[in-house]
Amino acid sequence: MSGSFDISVGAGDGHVVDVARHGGRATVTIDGRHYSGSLRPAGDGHELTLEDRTERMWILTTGDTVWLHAFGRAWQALIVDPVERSRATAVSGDVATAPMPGTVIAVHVEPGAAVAAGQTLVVIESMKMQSEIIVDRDGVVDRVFVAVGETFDRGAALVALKPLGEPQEG
Amino acid sequence: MHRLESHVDTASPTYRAFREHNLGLAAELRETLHKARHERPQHALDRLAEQHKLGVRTRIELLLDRGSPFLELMPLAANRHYDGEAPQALVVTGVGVVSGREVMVIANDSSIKGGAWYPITTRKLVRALEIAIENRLPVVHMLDSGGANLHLQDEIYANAGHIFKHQCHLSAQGIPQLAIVFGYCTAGAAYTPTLCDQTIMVRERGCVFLAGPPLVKAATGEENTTEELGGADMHTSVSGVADYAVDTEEEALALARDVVGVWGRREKADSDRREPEPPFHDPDHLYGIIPDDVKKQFEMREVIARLVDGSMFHEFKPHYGETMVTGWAFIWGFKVGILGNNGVIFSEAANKATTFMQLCDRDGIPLLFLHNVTGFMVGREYERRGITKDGAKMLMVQANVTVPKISVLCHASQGAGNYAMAGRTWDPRFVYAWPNSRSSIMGPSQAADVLTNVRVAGLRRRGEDPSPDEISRITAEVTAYFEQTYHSYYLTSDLRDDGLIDPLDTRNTLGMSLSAVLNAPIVRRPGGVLRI
Repeated sequence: MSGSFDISVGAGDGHVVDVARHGGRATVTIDGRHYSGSLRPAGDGHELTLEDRTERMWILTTGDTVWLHAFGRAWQALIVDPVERSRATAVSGDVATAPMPGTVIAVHVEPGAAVAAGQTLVVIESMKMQSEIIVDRDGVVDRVFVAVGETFDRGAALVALKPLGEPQEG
Repeated sequence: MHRLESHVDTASPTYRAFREHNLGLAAELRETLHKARHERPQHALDRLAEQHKLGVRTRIELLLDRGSPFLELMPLAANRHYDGEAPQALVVTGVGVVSGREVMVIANDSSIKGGAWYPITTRKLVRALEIAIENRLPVVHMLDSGGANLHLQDEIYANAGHIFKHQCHLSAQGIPQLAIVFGYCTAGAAYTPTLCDQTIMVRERGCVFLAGPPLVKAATGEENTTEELGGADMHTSVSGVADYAVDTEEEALALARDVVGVWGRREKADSDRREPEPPFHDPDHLYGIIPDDVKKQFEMREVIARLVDGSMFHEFKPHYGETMVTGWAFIWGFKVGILGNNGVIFSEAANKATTFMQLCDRDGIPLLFLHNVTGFMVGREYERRGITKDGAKMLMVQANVTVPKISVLCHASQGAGNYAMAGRTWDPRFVYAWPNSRSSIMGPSQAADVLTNVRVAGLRRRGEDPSPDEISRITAEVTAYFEQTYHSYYLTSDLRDDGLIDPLDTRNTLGMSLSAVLNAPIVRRPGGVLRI
């Protein structure tokens, strides 16, 4: 494996780790500092050489979590999926818009209502399918632009939240 | 690959309502399957006992390796046809393991109507043999049928020839076939054992002839016993039509296991494999994820997370054409390229699917289609952007990829969306459906609108003015027709899939199917992948 990973160890902050392989050895760059080392299978585990230290090491991977036992203790490292990370940090808008043209089936909120991320704002039907328009952040409803039975075009505003930074009471 | 995150809230009222609904559907499916497989009138069971015959399920059990799984195919064939008088279409088909080798088992059920063929029986036999050809599965035919139900000969005769033609092609492609003759093989059916490489016959009960004693007497006046005319000893020592004569069904089945053992095992197609691993997210949650109404949407990634090894998925183009989820995963250690619907297909979604299929085809990765699609997006904006052109590209590439395709109808599968996602008529290697799924040319309410308008306009042209009652009667009629014919039970009865499955069985079903498809080599076609 080579390339750049975002890895958090235990509860600590993330580290940017880069591995470049050359022959049986590798250069590991952690947060900009280079280390030279090698990893080879030994018994039921591995033998890790980093600079002038050699340690026995056991590695177990489940999903995106890697469990390591080395240097006399256990470590848990989590590899962060860059796509998930970019999703998590995406900026949420203040206005929920229609993903496609359709008809309003149900409206679950009214202006002034407090909403929590994940809550359903409206249910729309388009192309024989009902979908729920879900709010992606906590907030307070500012305006509802549609009523049950109304049709709308793609991109039409359905519900607006009060912008963050404004007073959030009803 | 990364582990899919799940956002299912198992405490929510919606989840609980869906779960209750789907548990009900799963129970209904289990009950219906049990009835079709096992429930027979007492007189039918008495008759089998009198004839010293084993039931078809016992025969299959004795044939298969003990404790090995059996992937039964089309178990609810004819279940909603012929007033339910031909459960399973009186033949059991499926992929099982015999002496360590995957084989297609085709076994007549003579407990009812002497195992006579109905039109759907014929189509089921043809389909089972197609599966054998496409996946290079050896076939064990377990024969015990009175032959065609002559009251329905027209529809039967229209398809029956394919059975024997497919047998000839199996042979030419080096795929072995064995027949065990437990009962009658009369007229056309006499060719099935005779076209096999090897045939075992049970004395006193198995017989093979072009015409039985009564017909021979009528035709030429000659009198014969069944054994003289086409019994095991005559065929194995005089005519050479069959190869082995045995006294009991148990002996026949033991010998059959031996014969298959001598065939040996073939290497499977080269494909990426890993050590299998159960999904990280509990598959039992599927019951609470699938909605209680075919119109309601759900997140297909939540389903993928409960089908694939370790819930690990590498998503392709995650930010583009978001109503189509594409990516790679492993199921029971077999690598697959998954295409799942997350809503209606827009141009971007179609194009992403097309590119993804080309990638998998080039790399020799089998494709899995998870259907929840009501079609391609309609409307001025989309027509102007060439939605039909993008749909046509998807169809063109999907139809012509050479990697194996498997489809699962998870919810809605309608219109051209079903075609684009490798529905039945696009010949995926296997296609399964969940009991909640519905499939038709369009939705019932849309069809009701269209057809009601047409009929009302027709009446008005003739000077009649239909009353509101008359109009609602027309609407109700059309809706009822659609509700019946787009129902999963109706479709599986008519062989529009290879079986209805409990969503929880999907992973195992797919694992066995992927194992079966790899018996055929994957032919890689050189060619560049277009970024369209």
